[in-house]
Amino acid sequence: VRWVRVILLAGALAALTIRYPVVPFRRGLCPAWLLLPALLMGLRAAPAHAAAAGWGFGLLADLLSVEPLGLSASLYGGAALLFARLRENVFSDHRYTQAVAAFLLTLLVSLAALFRLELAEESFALLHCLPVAFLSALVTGAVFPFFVVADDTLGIFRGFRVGDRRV
Amino acid sequence: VLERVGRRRIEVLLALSLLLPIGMPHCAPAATLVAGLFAAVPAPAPPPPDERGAENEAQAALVQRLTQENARLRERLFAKGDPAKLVALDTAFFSRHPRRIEAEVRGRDSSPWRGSLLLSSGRRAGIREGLPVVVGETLVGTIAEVGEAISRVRLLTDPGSRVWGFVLAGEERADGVVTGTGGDHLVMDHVEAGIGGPGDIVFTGSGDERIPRGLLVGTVRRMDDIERNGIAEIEVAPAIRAERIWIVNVLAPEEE
Repeated sequence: VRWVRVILLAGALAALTIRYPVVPFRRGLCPAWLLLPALLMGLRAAPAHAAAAGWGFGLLADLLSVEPLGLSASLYGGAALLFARLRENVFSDHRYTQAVAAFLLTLLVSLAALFRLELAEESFALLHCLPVAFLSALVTGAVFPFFVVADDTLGIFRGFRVGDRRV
Repeated sequence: VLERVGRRRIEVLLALSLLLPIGMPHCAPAATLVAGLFAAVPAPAPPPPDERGAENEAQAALVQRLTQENARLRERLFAKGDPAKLVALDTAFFSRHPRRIEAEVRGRDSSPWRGSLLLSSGRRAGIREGLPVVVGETLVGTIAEVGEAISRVRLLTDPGSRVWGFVLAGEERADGVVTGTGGDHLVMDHVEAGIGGPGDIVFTGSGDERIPRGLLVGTVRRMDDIERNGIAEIEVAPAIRAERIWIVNVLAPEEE
């Protein structure tokens, strides 16, 4: 288990996220950057490890936001676990599947976060969550193949389960 | 039951982590401190002395431009009637909060549906929770969390932000509540229908004693067509976009 590399990845991503979160996108929109590695873990790691890593990424997101501590942690952990449980029933290695999963899970997580603020039923909340989920899906579809190559090269998830096989 | 719980221990642990916000209400400064550590990682090196002069000139030019813009906005207001009494700044508040603590923006919010900025000053400089944060005479947000040497401002665009405001349309004004949406615009609700239109200016109101009346919030972008019992909803464009904010002032009371 290469937890040190996962932590280094999380740290680098966190530093980039809060320094340059909206650079490439218009109207203040950006994807849920820290949710994406949680979903990546859900794709490749064992369910328990995916949940733990997702929880960690979520906790980091809480620490770097005005979100109350624990909210993103539980949501990201739950999303990673859900992805890990569902992946055997879908074509999980296909980038469209990953993009659709990223879209649905980002939408679910963002609506849950806004539900806590009692804003989920407001029209503007949904209008903001949809583009964020779409951007996350777009980035996921583009990034996952590179991630798989990086994972094979750097061995971030070596020792985890890949598909039905433990390596 | 215990066996079932044991089999679902991951799910149980995740559900229990939802209790963190209830069980740890006083860890906001710690969270701000951690955020500050990450923000400090790629901090740019200070410019060499010969570049400082150019930077100061650029800052002076920016201040001049903002002052002119402010004057232009005031002129526009006066041209619409006699709103001087309506938009007079809250002198009582400013006499209670005479200090302007300058702070640099060190980082942004990691969540795409929240809006906050990490500031380079904290409790040591006199910043306290709830204080208003401004750029010139424009309200940016309020202080949400404070650490020793770092703090976090909740922007007006954050979905958790609610500020009393009023829209000024000629000689008429309509009060309402300005709420953040998480995106690049604000929503002003509970506004009397039929008052105001695109281009009208929104100021802070006097419903909250922690925020001075008369600060600029933004301009009306769109009016809601659906009228509900005489109440309308207004889409407001913030006066300053979050990604353009680099230096802010925190309005603080005299040192204790």
